[in-house]
Amino acid sequence: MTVGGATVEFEKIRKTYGDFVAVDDFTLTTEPGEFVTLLGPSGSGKTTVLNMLAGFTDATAGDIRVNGQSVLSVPTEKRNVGMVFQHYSLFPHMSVLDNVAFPLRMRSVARAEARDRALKALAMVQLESTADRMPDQLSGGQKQRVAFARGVVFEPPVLLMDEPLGALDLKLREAMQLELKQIHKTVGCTIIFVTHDQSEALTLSDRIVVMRDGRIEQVDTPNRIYDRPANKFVAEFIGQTNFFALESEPSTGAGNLPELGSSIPLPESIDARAGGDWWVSVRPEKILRIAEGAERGINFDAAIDEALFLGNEVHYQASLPGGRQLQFREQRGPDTPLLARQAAVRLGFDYSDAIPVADTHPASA
Amino acid sequence: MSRKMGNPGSILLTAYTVAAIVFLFFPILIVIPMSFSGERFLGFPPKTLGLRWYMNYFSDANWIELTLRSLRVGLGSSILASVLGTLTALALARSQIPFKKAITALFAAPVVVPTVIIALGVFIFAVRSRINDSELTLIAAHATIALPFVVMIVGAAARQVDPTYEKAARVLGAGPVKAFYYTTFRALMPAVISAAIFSFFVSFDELIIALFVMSENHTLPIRIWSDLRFELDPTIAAISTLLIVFTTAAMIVADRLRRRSARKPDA
Repeated sequence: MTVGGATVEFEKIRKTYGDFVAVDDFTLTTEPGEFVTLLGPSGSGKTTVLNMLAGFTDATAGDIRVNGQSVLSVPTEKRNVGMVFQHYSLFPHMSVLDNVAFPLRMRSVARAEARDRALKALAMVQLESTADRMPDQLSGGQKQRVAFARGVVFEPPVLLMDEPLGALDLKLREAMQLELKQIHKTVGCTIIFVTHDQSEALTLSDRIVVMRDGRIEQVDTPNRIYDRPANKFVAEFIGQTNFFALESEPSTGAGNLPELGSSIPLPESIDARAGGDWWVSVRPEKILRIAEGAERGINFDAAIDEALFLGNEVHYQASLPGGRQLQFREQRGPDTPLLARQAAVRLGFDYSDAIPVADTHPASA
Repeated sequence: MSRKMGNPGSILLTAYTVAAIVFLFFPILIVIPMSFSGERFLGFPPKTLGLRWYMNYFSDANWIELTLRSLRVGLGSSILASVLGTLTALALARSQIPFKKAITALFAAPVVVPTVIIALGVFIFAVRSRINDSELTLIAAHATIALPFVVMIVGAAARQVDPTYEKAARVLGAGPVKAFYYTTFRALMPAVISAAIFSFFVSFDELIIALFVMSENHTLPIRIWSDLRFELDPTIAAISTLLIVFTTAAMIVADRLRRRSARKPDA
């Protein structure tokens, strides 16, 4: 079962409930077969976007097109999108096979053919043997895989997934992420995936759409989102980071980091002088312990507060002399000593690892 | 059962429980041996056994006519109450209508209002509209008093049904009617059948409204009641026994279905 994925275009989508703006100015175009994740905290509007594409909710303004055709006036059942829900939503009174065959039966596919195709879809998720069971006889992971099979059995060009792994425990979730990537490769449909779990988004996606308060903060590939966050919100939401206040030197255009007593050269595109709330984001793994004489761009002294030993890595929390705390990480081998509490360390990072970000507030509607 | 049965408290409790059960069931159970009496008059214990009172019931055209009428009225009011009650329960469980609590309370009113008051109201209305002594009128009146049970039983089930199932069915290709049928309706079915059975019996053994409304076309409870006032005919014991068997069987089915629908699906 391979289908070409569809191009999905959102054009200036807006959704309001009374005075409340759930989604605003949402514009996005997916490539055919792309895996796009809508990522954001709860209440950021990501599920509303999904519901508008599925037809559960009407858009207040804007347009949604699948392969160039507007779908806003098409009823849900005719939109031909697959969907996997957070709590699986397998029909409890139907067998696994009947559940998976359901979309085919609704499309008037003959019983025998529907059965064959449903079994093939179940084979794809390695669950043919459960075909005759009832959903409540399956484990959580099995239910989720049946829900995948049901979502793609009718070969929809677009598959929507609303926090589909949210109800699974961590280990199972990681296994399912791998499996989901495999299925996506096999089926080839465009997937629009909603999650609030940033690590899941980084693992699975071709592109991530970071949302806050109904607006898009950044659309980019996972590594660009991680390495080059567009603003302070994105830097903070994706992975862990340290923020240092950034003040620009009016005369030279350099950026001062008063907490570290240093300054960094600022690229011309960044004008911290224009006002606003500027910071640099430095990921914990970019802050390194440095030996005497091996200074980097920015160097400073700190004292260890806490060490979290994780086997291949140690996560440290340290304090600057002024008391401000920061996180850094150290890859370790068998001979790497563990730093004790209160140990004095010299730390540093390169200019290029300090990413200037502004604390932008979303425009109020 | 780790507690010893010897202490006075538990002996008292056991005695009390047995007494309560005997008190509740004695009037019912005494009827059964009486119905198999071969004697001319109602008496306990029966001196000789026989099926003559059962034969008497089945060969009496009037008993059969009244039984069939009560069955028709029971069936009619059960269907009416189930359909209206199910729609009401769904509306109350799903929609965001204002005054939902007040409306819910209103639907429970027929349980609280004394039946004789309802009977009087129905009687006055029926006489004025010249629709008294009609099975349809009695069906409507009985449906009214059965409605709260349907709303309660189906409502409990409807609150358990996750509306996501219906959304899932829609997005997978089912139109609104099919989506409702394959998800919510299927999930509610046991509760609806259970409520229909309860409604049937609410009507089937209802006496007071029937007395007010049905002056000529009597129902089974009316004849049982009027016969008992004048003579102690063992036929009534036979009918009672038949009713006990019929009712118990139906209630067991209804209860099974109600439990099944109350169980949370796909948790």
